[in-house]
Amino acid sequence: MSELYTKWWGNFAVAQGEQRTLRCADLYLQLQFLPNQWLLGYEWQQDINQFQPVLETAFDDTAPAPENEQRFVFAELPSTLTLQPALADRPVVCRPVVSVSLLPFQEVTLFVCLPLWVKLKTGESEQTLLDIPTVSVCDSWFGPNTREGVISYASQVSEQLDVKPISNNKARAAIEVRIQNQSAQMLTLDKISVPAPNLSLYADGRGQFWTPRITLVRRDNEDAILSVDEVISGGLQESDLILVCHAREDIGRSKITKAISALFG
Amino acid sequence: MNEWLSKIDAGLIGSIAEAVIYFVVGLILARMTSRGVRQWSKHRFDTHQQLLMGRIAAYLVLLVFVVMGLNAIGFNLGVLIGAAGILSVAIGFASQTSASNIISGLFLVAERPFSVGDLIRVGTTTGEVLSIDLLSVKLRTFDNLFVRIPNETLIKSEVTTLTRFPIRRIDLAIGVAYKEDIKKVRKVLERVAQANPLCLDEPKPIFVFLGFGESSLDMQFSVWVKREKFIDLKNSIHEEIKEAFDAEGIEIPFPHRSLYTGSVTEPFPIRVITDAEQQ
Repeated sequence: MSELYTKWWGNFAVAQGEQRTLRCADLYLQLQFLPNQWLLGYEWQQDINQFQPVLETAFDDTAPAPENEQRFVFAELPSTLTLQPALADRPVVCRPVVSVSLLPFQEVTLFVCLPLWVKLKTGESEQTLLDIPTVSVCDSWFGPNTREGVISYASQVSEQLDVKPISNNKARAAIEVRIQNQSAQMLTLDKISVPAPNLSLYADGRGQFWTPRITLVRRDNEDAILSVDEVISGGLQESDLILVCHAREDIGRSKITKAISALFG
Repeated sequence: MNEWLSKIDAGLIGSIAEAVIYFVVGLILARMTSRGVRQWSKHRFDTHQQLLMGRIAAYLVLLVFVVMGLNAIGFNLGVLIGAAGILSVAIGFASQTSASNIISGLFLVAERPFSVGDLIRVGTTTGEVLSIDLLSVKLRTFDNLFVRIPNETLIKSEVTTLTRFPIRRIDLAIGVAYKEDIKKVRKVLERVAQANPLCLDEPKPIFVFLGFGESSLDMQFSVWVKREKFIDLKNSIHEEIKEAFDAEGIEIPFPHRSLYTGSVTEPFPIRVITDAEQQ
């Protein structure tokens, strides 16, 4: 017997002997609340892609142990746990299936899907016990050469730079990327680097995740400006949304000027 | 003896005591200054600069107190400096190696090919830099040995800094049997790289066909990895390639020789022994 939760994130009361499982995208997370310890197990199951995250309360001890296991011991067992969706801790490199070219002095809005991370916290100090991606992410390098650049994540989803709004995937966050080509040269987008650590995460009433819109401006000289806008992607009102997780590194209203090669591939 | 002892009056003992106090206070203050400077520079400079600044500050403080101590005993510093000049020539001749190491050390500090905490390879020694000192650089090797390399050696020889750039390339030498399809092998290798999360998606893996070897088709497959994960990927990717080759039926040959007895000779005679015959 298991009890299904449609709202899979937030604060939950836990009891000793209880076992919970979370399935979100490729992630299978198993939580066991044993006497004086919590046993957390997780693995990424490539064959199951759960678009609708599910948190179940189960008492089945016969479930197989996941690949990775971590044990946390407590003097006094916490009575609550927090599951918090978050965004990646490094920039995410998104690549369209076919490269997109933007003509001079044109503007385009693209919708990109970002993989979610899950943070597991407990206690009054909200100590983070686990901070893992919900998909099996691949490392990538984003920079003009092998000396200068940033270690990033490569997003494994193929149809990312799609102009049409993102489909109903509640295991990912949708972001609107506005790209302005203010130069007289054609801008070819083989890949773009989305600054996930600088973005906050919001959820709407349907359980879909959204981030603020970002704007990338390519100027006439050899640099580009990245700014995190004060509007939410998809034209949603902030008042209609719940702030799920603050940005890991808040850049506030400041704009980041970088070389073109540091923002566009 | 008595005459000599009579010269040591209370005043001289007092001066020596004063000098010793200066020296001890100097030592304590130098240590405190070094610690303070390192604490101050902790979030401003890297480990190497912190170490260097701490040392310079400590030596300066100690020098001031040593001079004060000598002054208290009644040493004429002018004479001492003059003597030091003559002495330095003599020391220079006597300690050419040390002087060379000191100068090499200065060049190392100025050129900064590596800093404290970096992984370097000098000759056959690979290790983490523990400190860059006046005469030598101290390393800790992976098998936890302490290695002292004179600065002069470092200046003269090739030094590879393994942790200079954030990403590294692993070159895998792969040989497959002559019967295998190279295009298929390439696709299998690319698939293995794509499936391994440690293998960087960008820069793309490189495939180079090296040529026709003695027993195999030789090729190089190079993948990029975050430098911290170098060993992890090196281990996992070899394993995964072997598994993928086994699954696809791709043969990894070992060196072998084909023996011919020449066109005019008969083939080698082969005798088949059955189980019943063996018994």
